[in-house]
Amino acid sequence: MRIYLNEKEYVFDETNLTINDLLKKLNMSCMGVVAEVDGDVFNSKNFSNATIKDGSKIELIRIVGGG
Amino acid sequence: MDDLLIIAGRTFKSRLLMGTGKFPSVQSLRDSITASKVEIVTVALRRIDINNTDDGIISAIDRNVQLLLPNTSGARDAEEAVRLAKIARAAGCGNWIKMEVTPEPRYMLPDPVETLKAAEILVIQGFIVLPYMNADPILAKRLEDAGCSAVMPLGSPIGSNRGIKTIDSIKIIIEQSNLPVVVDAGLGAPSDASLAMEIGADAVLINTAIATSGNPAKMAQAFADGIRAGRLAYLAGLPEKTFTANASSPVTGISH
Repeated sequence: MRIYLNEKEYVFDETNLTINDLLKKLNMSCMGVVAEVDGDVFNSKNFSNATIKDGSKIELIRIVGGG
Repeated sequence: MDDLLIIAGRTFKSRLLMGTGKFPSVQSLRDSITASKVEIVTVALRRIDINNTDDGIISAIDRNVQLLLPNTSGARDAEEAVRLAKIARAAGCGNWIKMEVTPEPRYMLPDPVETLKAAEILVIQGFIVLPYMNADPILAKRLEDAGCSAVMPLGSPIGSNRGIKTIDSIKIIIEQSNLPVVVDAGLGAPSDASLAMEIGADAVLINTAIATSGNPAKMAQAFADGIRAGRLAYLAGLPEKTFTANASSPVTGISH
């Protein structure tokens, strides 16, 4: 399937993934990460319920310094 | 008796709110928090850099001591501000939000219409809303009516270090507001912060002037001291200004 992560295109062989799976594939920790999947917001506790489908638009967001 | 800042029922000893952007290192942010004894720190939300996922500034913040105040920076309209507030809440930042809507990048002035619209939505959704706003007394009242928990009028454009160019309007806001008034943006020196406190502001928010100074921790302490001095002067009551001289020494018994 083809997804759009932070506006970049990624292609995976799998047809079903969750945000949890995606982070594992990208070798990323879920610490401090928030995911938005097609407009729905998920915190890290719910990443295993956040399903991604072909064409999903995903934003992975974190806290940074700011004023 | 302690002179405490109260916002939305929560009390703070420090009247300095500090932004966490632009610090040269996480350690210098940590040192600045320690030196200033700040109790409210603002943070932003941004896309993850997939190639660099270290936890960054969060390790510098002790959430038992400092309230995390996420902002909605980057939002260009109410819809984007509401989205960022929801993401902040999901990120575990709690329900306090420094709400800012700045559609144009050159001066980054807040859009008053979208700011009010976003404030109304976020208050209904249970957020404690502290809106960044133009120094407009009428807008301050509208935001108060909308259920905001403080107002944050700007002194001058964000990060400009130009000081309080909006002083007369801020004085009116302070006179008329039933909410804490936090002067935000553009304060470039401890004297600017002191002035804000002297005219009766409840607190100030500083980021750039501390983070980009030669020694952020020292500057953070300087701002904290400036704020304390200005607050004490306000509580003491500044004397009237006169155009002519008024002798400080006795005017009788002068030996010529």
